[in-house]
Amino acid sequence: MNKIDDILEQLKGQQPTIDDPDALTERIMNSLPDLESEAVEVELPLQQQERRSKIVPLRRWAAVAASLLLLIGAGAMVWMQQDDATQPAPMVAKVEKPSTAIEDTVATPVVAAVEPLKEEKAPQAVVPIPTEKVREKTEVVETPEADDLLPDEDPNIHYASNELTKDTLTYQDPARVDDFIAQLADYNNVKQGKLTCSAPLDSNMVSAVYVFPDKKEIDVFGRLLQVACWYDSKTPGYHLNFSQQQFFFELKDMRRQLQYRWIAERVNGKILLYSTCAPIEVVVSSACYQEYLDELMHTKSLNSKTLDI
Amino acid sequence: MMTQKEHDIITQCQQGNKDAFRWVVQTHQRMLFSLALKMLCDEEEAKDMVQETFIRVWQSIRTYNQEKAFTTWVYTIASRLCLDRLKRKKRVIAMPDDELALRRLASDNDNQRELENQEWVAIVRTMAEGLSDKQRLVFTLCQLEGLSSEEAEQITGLDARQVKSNLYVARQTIRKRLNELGYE
Repeated sequence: MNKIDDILEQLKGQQPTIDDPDALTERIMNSLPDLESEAVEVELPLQQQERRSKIVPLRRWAAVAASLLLLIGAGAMVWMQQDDATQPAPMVAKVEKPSTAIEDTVATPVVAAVEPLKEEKAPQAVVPIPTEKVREKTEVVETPEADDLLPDEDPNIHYASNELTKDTLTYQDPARVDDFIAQLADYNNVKQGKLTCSAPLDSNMVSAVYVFPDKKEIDVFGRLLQVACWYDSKTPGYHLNFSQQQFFFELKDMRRQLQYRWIAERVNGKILLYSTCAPIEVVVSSACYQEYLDELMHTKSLNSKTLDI
Repeated sequence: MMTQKEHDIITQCQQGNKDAFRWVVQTHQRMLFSLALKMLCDEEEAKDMVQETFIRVWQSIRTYNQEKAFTTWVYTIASRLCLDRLKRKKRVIAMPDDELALRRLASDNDNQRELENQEWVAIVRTMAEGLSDKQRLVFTLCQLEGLSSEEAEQITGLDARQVKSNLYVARQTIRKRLNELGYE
């Protein structure tokens, strides 16, 4: 019987036998649960079951997709709220006067690359330094700060407003220059020197001195000029004076009644940066700075200089 | 069609009479074992499947509509459980010695000889290797169990065209396989 049909025909209708049918019956009967406590379950035909099994994954996927959308939406909302809270308003670069508004003669026009102060460490900024002393009022950048939103300001002026009334000046904290200098020094591994003056100083006066290497990569003068340009020239006590040899910048903080002064000078291949902060009523003397400078003029290894002069 | 006796017994089962259900078990367990063994190719698993089927039948017997054939309803539950088990089970693959059982069957002149369970397992494994679960179910119901296409439709929930096509593909696959083994 090698015919396939015969084989299939012989198999048709034959049933295997259960070796011990009574044992199986008993086993089944013993395993039957009590009908009263059991939930009735209706068996479905195969196709309905298949349909149901297809629907279940679809539901799962739909649920997963909906969850993802919700998460993304919630995340986006949180992000936008944080962004609104933390991100400063768009920087308004307000050029009050063209670069012709220079009081003294300038050999090279000043091109101040304006960038937010948060990127102060970036060494890309290139600021050509004029060869002669000028008083510069070319570009004034107003970057709204948290301090700008102090409650004692005129509430009618929106912090992002492009127009300021003539009698209102946005507060710009002079102490930010010190913060910038500290960060610049830290970035270039320059330690702060300590001024010890022979003459007694006012105890309210705070001074700091740094000795930077005079390298193009660091570009201390250019960066200081950038910071100075951030301030409105109408800021109280604003006084900017710089040349290839020296940088001089002064500001007053009328809120805190403080005066600030920064002096940077090229000395023996180094740049000596001196900053001082004192109450407005205190007469600030540059004697200490001069002493330090004199000392420096005769010292070769500036960075290894001890703190005590 | 359901006899009056069967009708009465099922009515008693629906009232919770376990003794009546014993009769149902005794009457249908071989039928279910046959289906299970041919589908699952494992005697012990087939017994488990039979047990599980009767538990389901018992649990659902109150929902059974006596206007329909009880056997078909039981087969429906059993088929579902078989397919569920096949999904969890590894693919049924023919063993090297399985073909010997088919050779013995083919060389046997006694058409009335009853096959042993292990022979059944070997023969089904040899023939049904490569069939999908659905094809396997339709082939087992229609070809091996001898049910009609209409019954197969009710049991599987497939329509007539689907049953026919599944059965056709299953037969063709089996023929091809047996041809490769030297059968005509």
